[in-house]
Amino acid sequence: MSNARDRIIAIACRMLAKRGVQTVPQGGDNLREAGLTSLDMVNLVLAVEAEFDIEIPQSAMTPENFDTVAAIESLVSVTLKAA
Amino acid sequence: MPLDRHARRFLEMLAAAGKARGRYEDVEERRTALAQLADLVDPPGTVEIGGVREHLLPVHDGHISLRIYSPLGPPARQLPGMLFFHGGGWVAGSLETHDGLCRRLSNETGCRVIAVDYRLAPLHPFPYGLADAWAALNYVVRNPKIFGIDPVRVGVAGDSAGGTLAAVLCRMARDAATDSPHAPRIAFQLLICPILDVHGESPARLELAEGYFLDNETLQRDLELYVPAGTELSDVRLSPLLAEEFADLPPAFIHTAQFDPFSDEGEAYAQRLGGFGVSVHGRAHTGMIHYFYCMPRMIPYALEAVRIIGTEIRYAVDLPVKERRVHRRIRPELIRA
Repeated sequence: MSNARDRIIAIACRMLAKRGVQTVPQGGDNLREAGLTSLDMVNLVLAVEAEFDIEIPQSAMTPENFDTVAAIESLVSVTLKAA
Repeated sequence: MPLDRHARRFLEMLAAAGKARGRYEDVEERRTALAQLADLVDPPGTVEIGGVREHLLPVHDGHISLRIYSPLGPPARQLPGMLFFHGGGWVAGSLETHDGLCRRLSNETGCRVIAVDYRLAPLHPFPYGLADAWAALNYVVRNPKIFGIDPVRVGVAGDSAGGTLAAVLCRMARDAATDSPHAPRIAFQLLICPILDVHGESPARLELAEGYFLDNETLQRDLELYVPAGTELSDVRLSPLLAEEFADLPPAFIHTAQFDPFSDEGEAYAQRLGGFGVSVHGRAHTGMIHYFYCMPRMIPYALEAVRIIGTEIRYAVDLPVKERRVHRRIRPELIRA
């Protein structure tokens, strides 16, 4: 498990905990189905941007890129490389 | 003007986060969503202020909280007052969701801001919230020493559904004054993106019905919960824009947002007030969406908008009421300035 993935999981866990969900999402788990609301997802985007000091481009702002920890990890990796 | 780039980014994030829920079933879900949004875009308790305290007010069938904000600066025994009513479709919102805005309003206007935690539907449908607002206004104006305010310089303010309450209070106070010399006198009304016609048929309502943060389906659900069956939507306590006359209402400061479904209502209200000789000032904030003024962490222009409001209100409350009525006549079309 990569360090970036750990950090993303930690963020997702914090948000799920606020919704009363104690499970730790695995890479392929759908975060909405796990219990995150739309606003949680916005918060997740902001938190990921802050955690990795990146700004996710508009073109990458699609639901698919935030569905799972693995998708977010991939997005972060691409954004960091492009920076 | 296009959408402000920060507002656009916020809407893109919302879209990427999944389809907006629109029509909701559980009101707690609606409340939680707004509370979470506030935590995200303007966390409560984070704006430095001169002081904050709470006061419990007995009302019919219960109690409501008043939160009193004092501005930064040397402590003052007496300041102008501003009662503030939060938005949230009469079913959501709280002192917490609008804490940041109230703090900034207090600092920028120099007023002692008194935020009213009026009761919400569906447990307390129309006209409970309005009755709470009226009770709070009367109590504050009659007990100025408790709040440290100048009772002749008390205004009412609100955003969104809270703007409806503020606008309606002005009518109620004006009408009450014809029967009683003790009726509260309101020095100004500050309406921020107010809902003023719940029929929701204006061009802005139709054009911005979806995808601009506050979806029409959510609004319709709010209204179902707030308005009891059999109540006419054209009741001026729900739709103050539909009143037939607007004479002798307090000077108004009306702020609308270009991409807000309620923008037409705010601007039409400004026109109506101006047509009846009421002083109107304000601005149509270009590129902005509903609730932008509460989102400084997402939309930095929110801070500038509250500064603009602060300047207007400071000017208004520093003048005696009579002089203001003579000198502050503003042509309503200037709302677009």
